[in-house]
Amino acid sequence: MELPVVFTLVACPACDALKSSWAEQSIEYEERRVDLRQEWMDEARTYGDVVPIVVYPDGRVEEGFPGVMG
Amino acid sequence: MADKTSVVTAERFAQGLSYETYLAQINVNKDRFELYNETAKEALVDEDVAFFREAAERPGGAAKVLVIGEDWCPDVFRGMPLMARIAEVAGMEMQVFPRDTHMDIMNEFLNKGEFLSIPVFVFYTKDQEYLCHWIERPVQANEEMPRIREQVQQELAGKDEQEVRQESRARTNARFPAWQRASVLELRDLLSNAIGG
Repeated sequence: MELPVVFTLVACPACDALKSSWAEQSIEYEERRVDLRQEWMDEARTYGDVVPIVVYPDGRVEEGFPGVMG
Repeated sequence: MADKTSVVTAERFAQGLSYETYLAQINVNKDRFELYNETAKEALVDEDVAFFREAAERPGGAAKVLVIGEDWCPDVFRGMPLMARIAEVAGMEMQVFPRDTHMDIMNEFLNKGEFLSIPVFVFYTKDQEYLCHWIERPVQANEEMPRIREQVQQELAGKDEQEVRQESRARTNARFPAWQRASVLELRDLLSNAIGG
């Protein structure tokens, strides 16, 4: 099964909020922390400027998490 | 705002990382730091060097600067190399503190009292008396960024979002040397107001 890819940063309240929400809903995903690998950083920046960035298997992209800054 | 209850004591300040040590341990954007190390050299003219040197050396002057940053942030990989260059030519002692592992320091210098904006440059006397601080990016950058985005969106109307974003980023990055220069001028004003000169 192809999973959504979630680009995140350490110490990012919006990323934590998304991960908590998805954990509660048992949504599976692949996390790529952009502060750890240059290739993930470069890839994330092609999709957006605000983490979390979610790239769904169908190509849809979402940035940020509603109601949470950073 | 820093005051006598600041967590940044002289002892804490001394625990920061030198710029070289910081660069050696970052995970991402090393090439960007290297690029903007080079452009930072061009951002300073002789008059600036003389100003910052005098500002650092005078009694009660800005002998120390604390820098808060993270390697993933474009404002940091543009701004920190500039601050490092200023510190180098002025003889200021510069110590770097990664934001996410030093939140107690970050919380003293929140942007508008709320945002965790970086980089932050905090100037102190050699006796660790707080002088002033600067946050994130120059006014010129804040003014130009939305204009660049708007112009690219108009020119590339109908193109996909990734293409628009890529072009917007390229044009934004092309302005980084100019924004380093604008930062120099803002830092001069800031220090002039804080210590005179």
